[in-house]
Amino acid sequence: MTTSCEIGAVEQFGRLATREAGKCARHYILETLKSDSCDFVSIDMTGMTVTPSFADECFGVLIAEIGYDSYNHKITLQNIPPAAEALILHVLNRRTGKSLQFTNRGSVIPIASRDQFMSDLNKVARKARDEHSKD
Amino acid sequence: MYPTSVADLEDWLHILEQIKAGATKQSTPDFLRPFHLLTFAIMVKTGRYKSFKMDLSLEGYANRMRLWDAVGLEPPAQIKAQSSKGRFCPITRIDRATAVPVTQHLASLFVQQMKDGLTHASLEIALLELLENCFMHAAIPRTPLTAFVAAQAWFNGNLAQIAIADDGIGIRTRLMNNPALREDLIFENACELATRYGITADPEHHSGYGLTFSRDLLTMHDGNLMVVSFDEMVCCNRRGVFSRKMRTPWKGTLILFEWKTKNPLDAEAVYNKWPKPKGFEDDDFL
Repeated sequence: MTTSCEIGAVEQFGRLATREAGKCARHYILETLKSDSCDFVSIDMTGMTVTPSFADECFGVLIAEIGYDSYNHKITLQNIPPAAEALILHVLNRRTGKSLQFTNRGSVIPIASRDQFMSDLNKVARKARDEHSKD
Repeated sequence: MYPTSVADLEDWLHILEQIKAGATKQSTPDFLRPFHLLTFAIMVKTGRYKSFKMDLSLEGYANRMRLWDAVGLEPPAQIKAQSSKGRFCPITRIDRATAVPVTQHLASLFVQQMKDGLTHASLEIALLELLENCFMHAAIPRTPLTAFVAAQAWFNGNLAQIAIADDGIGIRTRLMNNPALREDLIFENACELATRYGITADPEHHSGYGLTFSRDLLTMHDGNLMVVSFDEMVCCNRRGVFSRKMRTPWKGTLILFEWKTKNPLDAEAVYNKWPKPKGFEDDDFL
């Protein structure tokens, strides 16, 4: 059985937070994950105004430190204000070199790159061509 | 109401220089904006002036903006208690510990009139980044930094100005800390360079979002960002980015953040415009 720990962003990090606060937030998340009773962390972002420096220091550095796979399995963000969603995805993308999107449950998954897209497109075209030649 | 021009700024810095050089009487602009009082306050503070006089027509405004309080001198007259809600923020000294409350106070000043949560959040983000930058990058360790912020909105004139000034080490000196920028700095204007996406003095720890966010927010929404640091300046607005050498330098950094109060400011539009990882730009799929 997996156990989730809930963190209220505004209560824990402040409604409006600096880069320094982002560093403290990252340490807090890592400490929470280290505790025996916590398999993954769910952060409620309701009401938080996220600055680029906070987002980068907290989530950007976090994904760079623990890696995409671990981040994806252990961190979910809930109720992200729309502007903050675009910002957090931007810092995660920049730190990982991937293009990520949020899932409904608040974790992130990569979207296909141009190369991946072209490769998939070629596969579909090849399949269609093969079927056409069979006919 | 027109935004502050480069000429307005240059003329005013020239006047301050004349006063510093000993001129006892100087003609001042008929209409003062926050940046006038802010730079004057830093000049008085760093020059350790014991007293100064202003034209009576300007004294009232300067007094309401708490000019004398900011520099630790006795004001010429007691100010009548007056609510500044929604119009101006007097000259306020800023330090690392007060960046968040000062930002919240400043952004809240304008929100009652604008009734717009998007603009409020965008202003908070821009201001906190600018104020944090001020302490992160302007200060020399263990040396006190004089830094002030002041703001005024003219809702009927569809303009607001937030000015931040310090007497710190300046943008060029700070950017030289990043070895990757040293060659660029031989040819480039340091203020212009500092406003570009991803430019930072501390590449190991920072990502260079602070000034870029303000530049993009204001250029996208018909505002005006001016950054002056020693003898360099940049002005960013919807017409483009214009940089030059200043006739009269400002010993420190001065930032003017101006926007049209009738235009909502949208931070999300800025983030969506920032570069995507390699292979994911919209053009890559054409």
